[in-house]
Amino acid sequence: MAVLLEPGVLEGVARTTIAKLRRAGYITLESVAATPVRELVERTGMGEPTAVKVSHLARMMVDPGFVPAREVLERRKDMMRCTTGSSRLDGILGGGVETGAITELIGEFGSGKTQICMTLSVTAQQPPEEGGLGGRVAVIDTENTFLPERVVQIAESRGIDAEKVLNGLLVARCYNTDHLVILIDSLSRLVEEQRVRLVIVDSMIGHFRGEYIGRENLAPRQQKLGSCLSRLLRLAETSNIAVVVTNQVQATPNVNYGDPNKPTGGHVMGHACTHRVYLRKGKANTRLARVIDSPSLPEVRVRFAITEKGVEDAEEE
Amino acid sequence: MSGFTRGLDRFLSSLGEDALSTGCDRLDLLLGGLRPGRLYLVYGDPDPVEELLIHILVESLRAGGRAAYMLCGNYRVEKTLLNVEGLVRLLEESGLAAEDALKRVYVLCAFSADQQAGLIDEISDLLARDPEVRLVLVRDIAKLVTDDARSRSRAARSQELQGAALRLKQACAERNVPLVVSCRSRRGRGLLPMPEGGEFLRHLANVILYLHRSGRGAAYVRAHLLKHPAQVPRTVEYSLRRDVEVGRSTPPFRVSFEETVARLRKEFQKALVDRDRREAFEALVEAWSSELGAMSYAESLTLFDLMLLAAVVDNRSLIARLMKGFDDLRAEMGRLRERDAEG
Repeated sequence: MAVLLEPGVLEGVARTTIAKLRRAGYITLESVAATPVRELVERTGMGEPTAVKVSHLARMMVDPGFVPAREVLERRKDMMRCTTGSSRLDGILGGGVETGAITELIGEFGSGKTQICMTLSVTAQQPPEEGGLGGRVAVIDTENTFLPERVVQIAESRGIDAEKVLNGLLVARCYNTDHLVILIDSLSRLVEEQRVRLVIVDSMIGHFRGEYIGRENLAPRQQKLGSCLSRLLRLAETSNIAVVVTNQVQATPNVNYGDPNKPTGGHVMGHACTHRVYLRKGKANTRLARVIDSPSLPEVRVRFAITEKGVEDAEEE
Repeated sequence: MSGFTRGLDRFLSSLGEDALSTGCDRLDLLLGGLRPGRLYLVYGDPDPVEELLIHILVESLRAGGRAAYMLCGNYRVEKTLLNVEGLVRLLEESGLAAEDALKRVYVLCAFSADQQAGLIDEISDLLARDPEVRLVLVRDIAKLVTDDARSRSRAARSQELQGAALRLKQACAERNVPLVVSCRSRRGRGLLPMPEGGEFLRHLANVILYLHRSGRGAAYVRAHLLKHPAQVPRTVEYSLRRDVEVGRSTPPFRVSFEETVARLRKEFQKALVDRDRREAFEALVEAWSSELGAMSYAESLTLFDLMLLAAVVDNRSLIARLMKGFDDLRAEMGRLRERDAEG
């Protein structure tokens, strides 16, 4: 359970400093402890010695340093999983989209990335005993593809109160990468205040690919992308929420056989995301999903279908 | 909530959004109209794509406000602009005063590579300057980078196009204007051709529509919906010509007649083994053929026509058989009379 950052929580830290931190969006001790000092200075405007002190105190209170692996295992038990709507897709994800991690959905256009996101925005609001996370969902929509009417359709065909679902859904339209950074920064406050349990960014890379043109801009692009992803991962870990991001593919012309597409975002994207799922179009309304990188999940391929219910199991062939 | 809005508010505001018509009911049903802030990528055979863009333009002018039509190619290479004659004809058919409507269309085109490079800035400025612009149409977006003489690598061109397409979409999304972009098709790895412009443009587009001429005739177009956030990919056939009714097409009378005759021939195959019947049938077909001109007003052969045809064929056969019987009897009687006379 996160500890709220209030005056008096950090011994010897002035009220004004706490207020500055809260204004910058740090409203829990965990978020302060997980933020680099340099970033605290940049975002709050406080002096570096104060930031070092605040960060040190927060870290001491939150993070005891090295702990036995058994304790880590115990902590993993707090982890929750959210159903995607398809039991097979859940199966390859180890039971669903997990909290405390970033799950990345990769695929070409029409491969079902947004459909999975929209289904998750419905299922995540269900109680844990029904496969959900029992909280609200925040969506950062960079491509203007997140349609509330489709969410209504998915909810209604699953027998879920659509109005309740829409009330628990927080959507932000994102127009450029700077806007994306602002929205990601505002998430930590939103997560605590609105009980958000799942954050969706659809798509993570779109604006970066269009705004940072040319090899000369590759380094700043990757740095900014890495920074966004690291903030999301920090948020996922400190607040124990699930983060789902979508990623595009790019064609590699020198591939003669097999799939010529590869995920965009390079190594930064690959390293930052915990689980990477590659999606491909299948016959009719079916799609194929394969875990291509994960510390705990095997590389298995399954077929699922996109229907009125959003995502569900495909019929046996 | 710093930029975040509740899904319910977004849903309610989307209900109040005016979706622009494409000028074709079937396409409107398929796409759910053209919604503000979305990018519609249309590609395929050049004629249907161009025809659809013009119809969308007319529909937007009918709905009020202004529209921007941007040609991405270099005029010095392309030598074509907006098809004004076709546009004026459509405007008049739609009951709009052509002169007044044309004043509400901004046409942007480039005469040099530099101007091509500045087209996106131009359209962004236009959207910022004139809030009455309710639609942006872009023809052949890939020509922004393929049609000029500047030499650069394929990767550089592709990146330039990415930047241009993203800025265009951002400008339209910020002003809540639907953006319809066309491009040419190229051979893909699958069954259908893919749009030019690379993977990024396909990701950026909210809706992708592939158009090609149908085998049924020049007026018919098949539209394949390949990407849509709320619709399952599917195919419909439509026609934008007002005198053509899709789904109730009438084949030419001669084709219909020949099909019917072929079917009758097959159905009455056994009966027509008889030589007399066959001759009678052929005579009838000839008679009916000569009546084709008079009958061309009929949509097709009715059931009564078919029954009459069958009855007449059979009657002619019966008559021929009876006549033959009479002739046989007459001959027989003649023979008997001769025998009596001899006896």
